Amino acid sequence: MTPAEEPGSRPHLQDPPIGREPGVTSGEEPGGRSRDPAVAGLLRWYPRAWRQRYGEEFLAMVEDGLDGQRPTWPLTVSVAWAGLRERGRALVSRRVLAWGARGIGFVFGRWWPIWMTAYMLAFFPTAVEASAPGGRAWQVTAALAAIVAVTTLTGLAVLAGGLVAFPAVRRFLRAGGWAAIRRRVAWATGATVVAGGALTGLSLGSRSHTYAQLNTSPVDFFWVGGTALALMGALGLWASTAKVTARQLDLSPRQRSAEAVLGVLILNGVTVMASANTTLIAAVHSSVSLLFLAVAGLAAAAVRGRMQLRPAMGRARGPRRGSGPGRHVYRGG
Amino acid sequence: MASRRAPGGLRRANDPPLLILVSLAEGPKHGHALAKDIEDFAGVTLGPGALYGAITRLDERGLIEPLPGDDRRRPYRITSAGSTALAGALADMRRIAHTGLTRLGLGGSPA
Repeated sequence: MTPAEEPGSRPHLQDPPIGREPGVTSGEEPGGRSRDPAVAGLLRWYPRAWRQRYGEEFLAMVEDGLDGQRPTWPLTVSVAWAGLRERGRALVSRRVLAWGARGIGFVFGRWWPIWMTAYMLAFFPTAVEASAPGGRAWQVTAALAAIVAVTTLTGLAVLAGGLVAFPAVRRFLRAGGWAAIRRRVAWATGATVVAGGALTGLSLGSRSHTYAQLNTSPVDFFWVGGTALALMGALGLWASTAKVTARQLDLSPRQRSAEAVLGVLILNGVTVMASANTTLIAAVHSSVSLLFLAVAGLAAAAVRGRMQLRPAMGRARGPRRGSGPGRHVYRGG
Repeated sequence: MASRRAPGGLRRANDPPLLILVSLAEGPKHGHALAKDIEDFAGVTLGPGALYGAITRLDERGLIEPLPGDDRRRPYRITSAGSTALAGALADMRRIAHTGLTRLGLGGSPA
């Protein structure tokens, strides 16, 4: 219950009748509303719920500041801007905005390795070798081997990251941190069970299907899509849990540096996995442009990895003079 | 808006919610009293729109709460959650200020 809904709270400002400014009343002025139409008119920029909750005290404050003068243009413009912002907030709830931002960040931001991994995992049960033209089967086999190898290495990097942080995680849990992440872990576990079930079903049901069969079968197509979404959800929830937990860990500078190096390896590992996957699709479709894209992805991973790895390894050699123990190195953003 | 920038064009600590919490740390105040107090101690003039936008956010987050007011002016007071949040923010600012002053050789006192 909001304060505005509480019994006995101050009188609410209702939407004004047509042709009358909000906050302006004829005759008596219950609650002492503003007598000045120019001041009362400032409220028109705000949404109804806000006027009901804050309108009267807002007008009182404006009148106190004006001391009998009429509102100036700068004041009117500033109030109008603030009121329109409130209207914008009322139209689109914060939750919707937050989910929208998360969705955009998930697709285009730092979460892309997760959906890329999920996408590849979902397609993995498909018999892609059988999809390639005869002369290109070796390319598919090589790309698959590369994906498996890079996935294994990336998985090992994730495992190493977990081992490095393990003592700090144990301290965090012993200090009562479990309560802070319990719900996240429960959601992530549930999502993992769902995604694991979907992937198992996909493995059993479409192991012998080719890409061509997948494209012509709506059931298989949606099953793969659904499995990818479930995997994205599970991976995203685990990543979010890890991020929230990591913020509360007391890591030494050396441990932080090791995590930075492993983070670079993991991110670029996923880029290499994506490029290998593109190579595979290029082989299946005999597409030179996709092959070019895959090579460009590999080159980008090599260049970016080298650029990111050097500062991370520099930090791993030891903290710079003057940096405090256990401090993050703030790099903006 | 009054002086919102320090000499050299650097930004002052002029985040309206923070200024409101600092003002309410002294005791409950209504809108106009808040604006005057903030202008006095921070040199920042908050217009009604900016002030009530910040009050709305702080109220929604439970960092301040309204008190029964006389007539039309409704005073607000800082909640315990607001005090905790303010203490954290000020501790961060003190650490940064201390580091900056120390590095400038101006001897930032941690207190």
